Amino acid sequence: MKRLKSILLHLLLVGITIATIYPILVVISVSLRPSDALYSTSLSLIPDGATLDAFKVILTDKPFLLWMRNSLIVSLSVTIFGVALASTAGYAFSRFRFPGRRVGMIALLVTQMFPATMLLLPLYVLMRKLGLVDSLLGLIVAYTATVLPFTVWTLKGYYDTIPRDLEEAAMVDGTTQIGAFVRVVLPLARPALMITSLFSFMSGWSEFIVARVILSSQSLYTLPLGLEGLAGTFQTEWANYSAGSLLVCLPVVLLFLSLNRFLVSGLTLGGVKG
Amino acid sequence: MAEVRLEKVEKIYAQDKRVLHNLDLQVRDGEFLVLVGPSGCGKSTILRIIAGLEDVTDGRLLIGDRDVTSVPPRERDIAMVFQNYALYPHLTAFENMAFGLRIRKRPKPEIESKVREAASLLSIEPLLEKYPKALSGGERQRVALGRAIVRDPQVFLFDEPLSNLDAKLRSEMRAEITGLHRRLGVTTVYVTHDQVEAMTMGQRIVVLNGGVIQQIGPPLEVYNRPANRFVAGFIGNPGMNFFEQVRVGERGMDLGGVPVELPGSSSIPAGEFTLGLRPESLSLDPESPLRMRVDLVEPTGGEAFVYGQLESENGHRVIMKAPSDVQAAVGDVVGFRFDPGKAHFFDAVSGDRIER
Repeated sequence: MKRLKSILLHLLLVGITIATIYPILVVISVSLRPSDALYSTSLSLIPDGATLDAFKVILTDKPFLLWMRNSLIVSLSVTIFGVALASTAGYAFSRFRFPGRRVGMIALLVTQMFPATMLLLPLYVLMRKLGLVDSLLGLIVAYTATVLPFTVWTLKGYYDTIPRDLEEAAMVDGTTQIGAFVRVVLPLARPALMITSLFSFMSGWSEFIVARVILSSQSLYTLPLGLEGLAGTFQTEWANYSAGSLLVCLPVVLLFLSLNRFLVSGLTLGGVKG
Repeated sequence: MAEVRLEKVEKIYAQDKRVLHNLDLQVRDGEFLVLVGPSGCGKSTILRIIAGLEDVTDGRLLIGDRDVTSVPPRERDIAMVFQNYALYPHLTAFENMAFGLRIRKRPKPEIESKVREAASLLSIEPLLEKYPKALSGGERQRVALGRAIVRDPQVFLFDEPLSNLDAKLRSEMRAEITGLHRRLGVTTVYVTHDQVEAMTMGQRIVVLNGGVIQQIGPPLEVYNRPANRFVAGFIGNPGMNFFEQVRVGERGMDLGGVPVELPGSSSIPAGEFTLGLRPESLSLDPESPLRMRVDLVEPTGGEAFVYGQLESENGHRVIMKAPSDVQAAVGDVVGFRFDPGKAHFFDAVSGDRIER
């Protein structure tokens, strides 16, 4: 009985895994197809006459590296600003009692209840007034603002699990409050910092709608915008499109693999006190 | 080294919760002073005020001759050992101990030699490269002590440092901490709720209740001449026996209907008092008219505690410390007497000690 249950469970897991991986394999397969076999219905993963031409086209004939540069600027800036603001704001919410603390925490939470698309118009108006439309800075500000509620709450929750005694010990030992934060609390909050960094990076890397609204110059396009441009109105070079998609995924995959050990513990952060 | 003085210190938390009221306290230079009292008595608050982790609402704090009332903790030249050790989990034992010196940017060789020296004093040299999570409770406590020692501070503060240790380790560490104090001679303020620690470690102890100092003095003086009923009941284990509404006259007193002769009772004004008797000043005496009904006998090895009730209309609880071979069983009615010279009298209303 137990054995049967285990077999069924594994069959289910294998099924889900195939369903998850298959589309990615197809994308890889398509990216390798020579341009004369785009609409081939062959199911073989490595097509006849496999070629890396599409990757070459993407990297040389298209402004892919420019989009990559833009995306990196945006995502890294969002990560740096986002984590810098969230780590300090979360600390304040966790450690100090000040007027507006509760209201502030709840207000942050409330912003998470609105779908992002609803905020699009006000966001655009705001950016327009600030003169940040069609600039990477505008995108950075918008993304940072959208990730902050989540990252502030996550970090606040994690700080709550770090005993205050440690900071007091550090202050008696000779640090200021900020010194105790930098030398004791931040190193201990590393798992939470990692997960919020990753989250911030991802939100900038793969976002499309806000970028579409704020950016108009082709030279400022981020990867999602650039990719979308590859899909033509009348004809789409699917091999190029697939190759581009894979290249977009690559840094994220590498990031996930390198931060793997923080992910499991990090994803459950904030909710449960240690 | 320095003396520590709290002058008219007032501490009121939010919602008008007054924790300390008009408190004056002097810790002498090089002294080992123990603050003891039940939880919520304000002892930890006093310690945290000395450390600078709490502000005072009113009053002054002096370390040496310097007014440090509004000086941040880092500039007070104190070291503190916390109840849960508060070792930095991301640093090794060595780095934990070196932390304060590194913050103060002391030269590397000096840090190295000071940490090694403290480690050898506490015999924790083999542990220096380990992280706190790999250490046992006692080892962590030693590292925490080491972290305080290397700083070479003017004052040591201990906040219930032994309460997370098991009984055997606790008595070892008690001896170790007093030994350290003897060797280093640093002014020390030690907070505990454990009156055994207070009695065995302190040169003077301060008994606190409800934010007010009840008595300050050497342990034995506090034990033998408690200033009031609270101190008498708090210090000593098992606690002192109290007999309410004991009438004292010229010749002696009336205890539950039994007249007891009281040498020197003439110095006490006639009236009704609360009588206090330490369990060890009671002993079994079949001839005595004082009788108690035994309801529990607790042998502890070297001695036994006999619990019972006075055979009289108001049936006071009586606890007696007896030899371990005591001839008393549950349900027995036994006679007992006490040493009238060791009887304590307290005012029935204020609870203050009546000297005689």
